[in-house]
Amino acid sequence: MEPLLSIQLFDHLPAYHPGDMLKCDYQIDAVDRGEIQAIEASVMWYTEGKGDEDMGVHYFERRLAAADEPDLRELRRFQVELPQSPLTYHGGIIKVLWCVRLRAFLPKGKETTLDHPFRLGSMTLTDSPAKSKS
Amino acid sequence: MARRFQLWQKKRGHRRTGSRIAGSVGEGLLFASMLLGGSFALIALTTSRLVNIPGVSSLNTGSGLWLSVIVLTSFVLIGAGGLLWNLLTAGTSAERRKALASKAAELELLRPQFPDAKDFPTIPLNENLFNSPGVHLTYRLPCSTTPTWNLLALAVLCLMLNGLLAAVAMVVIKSFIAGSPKWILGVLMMSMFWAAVKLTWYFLAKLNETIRIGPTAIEVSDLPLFPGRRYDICITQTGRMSLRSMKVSLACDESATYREGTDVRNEVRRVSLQKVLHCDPNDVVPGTPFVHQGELVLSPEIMHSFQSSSNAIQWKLVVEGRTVRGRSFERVFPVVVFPPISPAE
Repeated sequence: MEPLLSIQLFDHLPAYHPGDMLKCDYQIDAVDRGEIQAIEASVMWYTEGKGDEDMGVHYFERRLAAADEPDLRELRRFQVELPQSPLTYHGGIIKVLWCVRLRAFLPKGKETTLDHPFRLGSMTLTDSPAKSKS
Repeated sequence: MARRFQLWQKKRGHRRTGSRIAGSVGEGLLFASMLLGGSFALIALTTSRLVNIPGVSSLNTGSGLWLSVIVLTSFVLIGAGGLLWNLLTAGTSAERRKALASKAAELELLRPQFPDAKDFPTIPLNENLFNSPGVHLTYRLPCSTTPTWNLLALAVLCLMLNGLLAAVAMVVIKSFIAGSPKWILGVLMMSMFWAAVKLTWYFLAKLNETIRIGPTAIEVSDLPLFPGRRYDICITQTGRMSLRSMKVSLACDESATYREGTDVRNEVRRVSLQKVLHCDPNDVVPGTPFVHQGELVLSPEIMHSFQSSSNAIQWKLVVEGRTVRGRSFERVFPVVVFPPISPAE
């Protein structure tokens, strides 16, 4: 049975602004304590569209089962200040998307991930006309 | 009359008497003759050494073959460089060059106002976008589509073909004089002659077009660009032609690189093209460039410039001009758009 991963973001609707503080809770359920070997949480952007996928990681943490933290399933909270760029973008052949990604490492090399998308910035499309006058 | 045909001229420091145009033409002819002579001699020397042409002995340079190659190469380089420099600086006064240099030094003081590149790792921050001061406004944008390099490549190709033609012609003429004509080589020479005439004619037409349609410059009041802000822009067109129309547009291109099997492909799509300026200029005459100023207001909603390994969002100002004779030209000036600075910063 697959473990149940959950991510909760606060104040992320309709969008974060650059410089905002992202607050995130995550938790893992439906799995035995000893079955989780490591957990990785990332705040990252990635591209979608015609081109090969690019990505950038803004925040990263990796937790291993250890004596001081034996149970990785417990609720975990982190917060991070969001950067100025790149902003979320839906263009013609390129999309720039942001998400919080949670990756759990299980026995026998198995992994399971969950993405929670969010928007950074308030722009919509590049099609908005640039006002100009001569 | 006596002043017009002055034989001797005075030189005091950087100042000198006499016509500047005549000086530029003379300098240009000197460098052009160095380029032509050096190229012909270099091609003749290497051809005679590398290819064993029957009936033609290789040029005897004694033990100084490499010295000859170095000297002739330096002739070609000095000629090409001098000719290029002469073309670029023709019509630019020493005062103007000095003023531009002074302005460039002042710009160093403005640099700290730019956003720190470390805070914007996905925004391309090319030094060349910010280091050219303008004459009418603060910054002059670099042009990414100058015809100079194409023209230079065409000139090199033209010289190589003509040099080769000269070598073949020499063999053919010698064979005719010796009474054993080489007809196949003669036919080859005729076809090469036809190609050389065509290519030289094309090169001269392009050169004439480049000289007549002079350089285009765009200046902006501030850089980098931010969404929602207003900027003054100024377009300058020099040359010797009658322009029918000129327009400036702000364009946004998306560029995506992807792999298909072992091939690497790139697709560029224009996702936005907004008119910024449109003008119907009069004749552009030498010495008095056509200058037109306007205003550019960026929408607060536009996406900023973006650059990653395989994807890019590129903003640029595109100038499209059309002459009365129906010739059109396009110049592209890349710009960088930053995201709006947040109140938190």
